[in-house]
Amino acid sequence: MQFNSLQYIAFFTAVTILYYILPHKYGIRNFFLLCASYYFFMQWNVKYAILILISTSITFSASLAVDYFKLRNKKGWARFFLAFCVILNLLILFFFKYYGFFTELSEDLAAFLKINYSLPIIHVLLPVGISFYTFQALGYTIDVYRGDTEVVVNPVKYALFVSFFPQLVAGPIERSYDLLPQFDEKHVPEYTNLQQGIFAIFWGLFKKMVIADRAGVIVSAVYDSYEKYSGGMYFIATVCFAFQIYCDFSAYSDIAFGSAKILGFNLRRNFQSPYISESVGEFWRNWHITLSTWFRDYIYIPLGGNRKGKFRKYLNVMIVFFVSGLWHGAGVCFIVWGLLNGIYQVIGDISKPVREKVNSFIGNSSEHGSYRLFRTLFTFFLICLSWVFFRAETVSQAWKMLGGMFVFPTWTFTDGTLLSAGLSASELVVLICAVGILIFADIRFKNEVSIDTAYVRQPVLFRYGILTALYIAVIVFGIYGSQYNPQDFIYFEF
Amino acid sequence: MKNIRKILKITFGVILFFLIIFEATVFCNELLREKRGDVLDFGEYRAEKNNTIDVLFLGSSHVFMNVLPVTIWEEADITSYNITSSMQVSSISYYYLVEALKTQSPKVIAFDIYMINQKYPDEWRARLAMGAMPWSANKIEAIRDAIPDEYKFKCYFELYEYHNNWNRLMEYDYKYALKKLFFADNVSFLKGSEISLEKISQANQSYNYTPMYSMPDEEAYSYNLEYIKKIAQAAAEAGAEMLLFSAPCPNAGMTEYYLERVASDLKEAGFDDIKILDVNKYRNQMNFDYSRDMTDATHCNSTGAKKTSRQIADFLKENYTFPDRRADADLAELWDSQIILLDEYIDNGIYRPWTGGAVSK
Repeated sequence: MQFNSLQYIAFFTAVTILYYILPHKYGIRNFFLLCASYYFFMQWNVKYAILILISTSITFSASLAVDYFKLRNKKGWARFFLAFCVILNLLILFFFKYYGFFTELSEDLAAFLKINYSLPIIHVLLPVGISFYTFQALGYTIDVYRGDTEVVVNPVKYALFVSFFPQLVAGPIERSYDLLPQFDEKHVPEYTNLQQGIFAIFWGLFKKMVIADRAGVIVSAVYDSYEKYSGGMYFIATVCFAFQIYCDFSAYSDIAFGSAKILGFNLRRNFQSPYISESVGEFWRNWHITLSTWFRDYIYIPLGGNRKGKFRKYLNVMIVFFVSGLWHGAGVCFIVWGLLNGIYQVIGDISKPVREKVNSFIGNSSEHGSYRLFRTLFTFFLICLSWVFFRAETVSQAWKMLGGMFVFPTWTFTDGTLLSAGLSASELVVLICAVGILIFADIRFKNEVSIDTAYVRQPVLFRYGILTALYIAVIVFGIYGSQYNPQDFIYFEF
Repeated sequence: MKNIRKILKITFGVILFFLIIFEATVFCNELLREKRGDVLDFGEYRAEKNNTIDVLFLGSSHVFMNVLPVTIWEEADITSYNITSSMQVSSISYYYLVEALKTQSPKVIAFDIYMINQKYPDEWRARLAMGAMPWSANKIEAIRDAIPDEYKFKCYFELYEYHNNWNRLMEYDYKYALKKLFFADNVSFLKGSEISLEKISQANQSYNYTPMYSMPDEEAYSYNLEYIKKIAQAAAEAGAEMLLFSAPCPNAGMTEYYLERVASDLKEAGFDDIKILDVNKYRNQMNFDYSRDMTDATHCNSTGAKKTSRQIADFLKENYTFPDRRADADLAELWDSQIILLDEYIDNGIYRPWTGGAVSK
C-alpha cells in the first residue's frame, strides 16, 4: 500500500475516523493503531509482519533486561544484553539485506585468489523498511541503556513505537523519547492539525507525482541505457536524479508527517532545504536528518567524535559515511557514494584554513550573495557527482558517466537529444516550473518554520486556494494512470 | 460549548475541503476529457425548457447518426431528443432515460433494438457514456450496475485516463469546461444527433432480407431484456408509451426478428401497449437507397438521416397524440430557427457544439 495510492487514502481515512471514535483509556487506541500498522505493513507481504514482530520482541525483551540489570548496578549484564540485542538485530538485517552482496563479494575474492569456495545461495526477499525500523528499535535499546529514556513495559505501546504506520516503511527514524510519550497523550481532532496534515500530504504528493516521477523518466532512460547517451545527457539526468531522490524521499516524509499530524502526533522533520546548502557538511545536516543524527548519536559520538584529535575525527567521519553508504544499499556503488561524501567533508575541513585565507585575500565573504550562490551551486554540483554512484548500477558505469559528464555539448538542448529521453517539451516545461516552485519554497523556508506550519498561518482564502492549486497540479500533472507503472518510493528499498 | 464550536469548525472545514476537491475534479474532467459528438451532452439537453420534449430516442450510433430531431419537428411539429451514446447498450439506455426523465415528461420513449446482442460497451465507450452523465445517485448506480468491474474505477475517476491531455488543450476546451462549471449550456440544433456530412455515399450497401430464426447470443439477450423491461416500466411510470424501433439496416431480416421477439417478450411480461417501427419496411415509401443514403452498414448520411427522420415523424404523427407545441410561440420559433441551423450545418460546415459556433471548412 503506497502513500500515493487510493488504498492508502481509504485506509487512512478509516483509521483516522475510528481512532478518534475509540476511547483513549485502557490503551484501546494504541492497540487499534498497532493493528492498523500491522495491516498496513502486511499489504506488502504478510511474512514481513513476522520479521518485525521478531525484531520488536528482541528489542523489547533486551531493553527490559538492560533496565533490570542497570537498576541492580550489574552493568556487565546490561552491556551484555545490549550487545546481544544489537548483534542479533544486525544479524537479521545482514541476512536479509547483505547476505547476497556478501556472497557475491566473497566469491569474487575467491575467484581472484583462485580458491575453490562458495557460500550457499539463499534467495531472500528484502523486507521493506527493515533498515528503518531496525535502527529505530536499536536506538530505543541504546537509549534505555544510556538512561535517555524510560523502559517501556507495555508491549503494545512498544510494538506501536516500532511499527507506527506513517513512518514504518521509510522513516523518519524516530527517537524513543520523542515518540513514546505521544502514545500516552489523549489526542482530540484539531482543526489546525487537520489543515497542516492535509497540506503536508498534498505537498508531498506534488513533489512525488509531479516532480520525482517525472524527473525519473529522464533518469531511467539515461541511466538504464547510458551507452546510448553522451556527456550532456549524463549531466542532465544526474541533476534530474538529484531532484528525483530529494522529492521522492522528502515527499514520503511529508506524507508521513501529515498523516501523523492528522492523528495528533508530531514526527521529526527529515529535510530542511538540503540543496540550499553552502557546504557538504551543511547538506548532511539538512538531508535525511533523522538518519544523520542517528549516526551522529549512536556511532560518531561513541567512536569519539571530534574529541580525540583530527585524525580520529576524520576516521570517524569516514566510518560513519561508510556505514551510511552500506545502510542505503548492499552494493559497492553505495559504499563509494558514502565514502565520497565522507571525503568531501574531510577535504572541506582540511582545506578550510586555506580557503579562508584565499577568501580574505580576494575579499569574499558570506555576506556576499554572489559568493553564497557560488558556494550553494558548487555544493550542489559535488552532491550531484556523488549521486552518480548512488544511481549507477556498477562502479564502472558511474566512472564512465562521470568522465563523459564534463564533455557537455550545448546543442544537447537544441538538437532534440533532450527530448529523446522520454519527456516531451511540454513535460519538460512542467518539470522545470515544478522544480522552480520547489526551489522557491526551499529558499523561502530555509531557516524559518516549515512550509506546512507557514501554511496554517495564512488567511483562509489563500489556504484553500493553495490547496486547490496543489490538488489540481497533482491530478492533472501527476504521473499516474494506466499508461504508467506505479512508482514505488525509492527509499522503500532501503 | 467550546467543544461544539470546535466540532462545527472541523465539520465545516472538512465539508468545504471535499466540496473544493469535488468541484476541482469535475472541472478538470470537463477540461481534459476528449470532446466528442457521439455521446449526449446532458448540459445541452438540460438547457431545453422543462417538459417540452415529447419523444426520447434511446440507443447507440444507430440512433444518433440516423435520427434528426429537428427534421422530425420540421415534418410533424413533434419535439424529440436523442438520449444516446456510442455503443449504448440497454443497461446504459435505462440509466440515461432515468436521467433524462428528471427534466422532461415525454409522451413516447423510442428504443432502438440494434444493440440487443451486446451486454457491455468496450472500456473507452463505457468511460465516454458515464463521463457524459452528470454526477448524481443515478450515475453512481449506473456505474455500479452497468459497467464491468475492470472499468468501474476509471468511470468514477476519469482523469486516471485523461489527465495527460493537458498538453493538448485548446481554447475551446477551457470554454467548454467553464460553460459546464457555471451551467451555462445552450440548446443545440443537433439534439443529441451526430450527422455525417456526406450527402451521397459510395458505401455500396444493399437491401438484403435474410430471415433470422434465433438470437446469436441468448445470454446477452436475456440480460438486455431485463433492462428493456425496466425501460418499459420507467416509461409507464412517466406516463409515456414505448416504441420499439429500428433505423435503416441492410440486414432487414435481423431487425425484423429482434423487434418481434422483444415485443413478444415484453407483452408476455405485461407490457401490452408496445408499438413497433421497422424503418426498413418503409424503404420504398420513403425512397430510401441503401447504396447512396448510408455511409456504412448501420449509419445513414445526412440525406438518409433526413429520410429516416421524416418517416419516423410520419409514424409518430399517425400513431400517437402529442400536445400542440406550436401553441407556445417562443418554443416553436426556437425549433424553427434550428431547422435553418441544421441545414446550414449540413451544407456548409463542420460544427462542433463545444466551440460555441461553427467552424468553416
